[in-house]
Amino acid sequence: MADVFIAPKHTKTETEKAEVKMNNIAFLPDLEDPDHISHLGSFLVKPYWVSFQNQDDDENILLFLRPHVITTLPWLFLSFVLFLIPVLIAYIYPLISGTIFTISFLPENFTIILLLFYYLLVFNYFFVNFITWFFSISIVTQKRIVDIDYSDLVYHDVAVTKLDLVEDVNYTQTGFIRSFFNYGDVFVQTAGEKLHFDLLAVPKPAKAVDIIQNLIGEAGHVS
Amino acid sequence: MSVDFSNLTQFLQPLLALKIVFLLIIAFFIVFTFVVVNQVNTMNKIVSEAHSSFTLKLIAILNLLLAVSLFLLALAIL
Repeated sequence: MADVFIAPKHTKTETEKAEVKMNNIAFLPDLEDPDHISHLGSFLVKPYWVSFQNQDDDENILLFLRPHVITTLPWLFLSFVLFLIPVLIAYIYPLISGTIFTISFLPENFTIILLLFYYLLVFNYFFVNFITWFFSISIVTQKRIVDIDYSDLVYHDVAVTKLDLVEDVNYTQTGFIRSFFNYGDVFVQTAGEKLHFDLLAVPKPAKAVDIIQNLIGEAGHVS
Repeated sequence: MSVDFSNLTQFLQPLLALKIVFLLIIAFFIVFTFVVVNQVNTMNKIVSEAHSSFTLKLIAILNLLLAVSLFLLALAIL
């Protein structure tokens, strides 16, 4: 039977494609006033004060992720303990032995320098751990995903993939602590050179996956 | 001709040797703090945040200055 009517094929123009993308972006909640924004946040939506290398002029950061702040507790606690050790020795030793603690084989000036050097070491331990956490960042824009792994002070790995190459997004959230503080690992599978992006210990992994899924327009799965 | 060993004896004094060891350790530590400054600058170029980037850079430079100050203090009082 001959066709009665054949609807003309409508290919989306660039403007219409951009409108679809902008509509997808519109679902993201509005930002708070700048005064209330934390620069140490781990889950930031549309952080306009952040920029990254090789960012295009028309490219906006939609999602900014860091490891959950709870992951900083071990080294924060250790830094605090290390800071307190000389203080505790100075106060507790006299109570036990009745004398002031001194390093008998070292003159006083060496002890002062040793103490100052010790506190400088403790501060550096804290600072290096802080910048390791601070610069471990994952960024999602309307065009691509950028994953920055920073560790061991001198190692950093920047991986970038276009959103068009993202094939699947899923997350895992296992254990009591992760469930209680609502953070987990988001895994992004791509068709690019780097097959998967691992966004580890990010807050609200379900929401992060939802945002990325809406951007790529595909259904992912949760494990 | 006789060799004067008095300078050698002075050099081998334990406290002087300990001072040199302290100064060497602090010097290596200054190199470490310089690496920290360099890495903070590198990472700030990769990701830049208003105010935070400047604050981190300032803390890293202050850290380096503290290490240098400690070296000078050790040189003076030890």
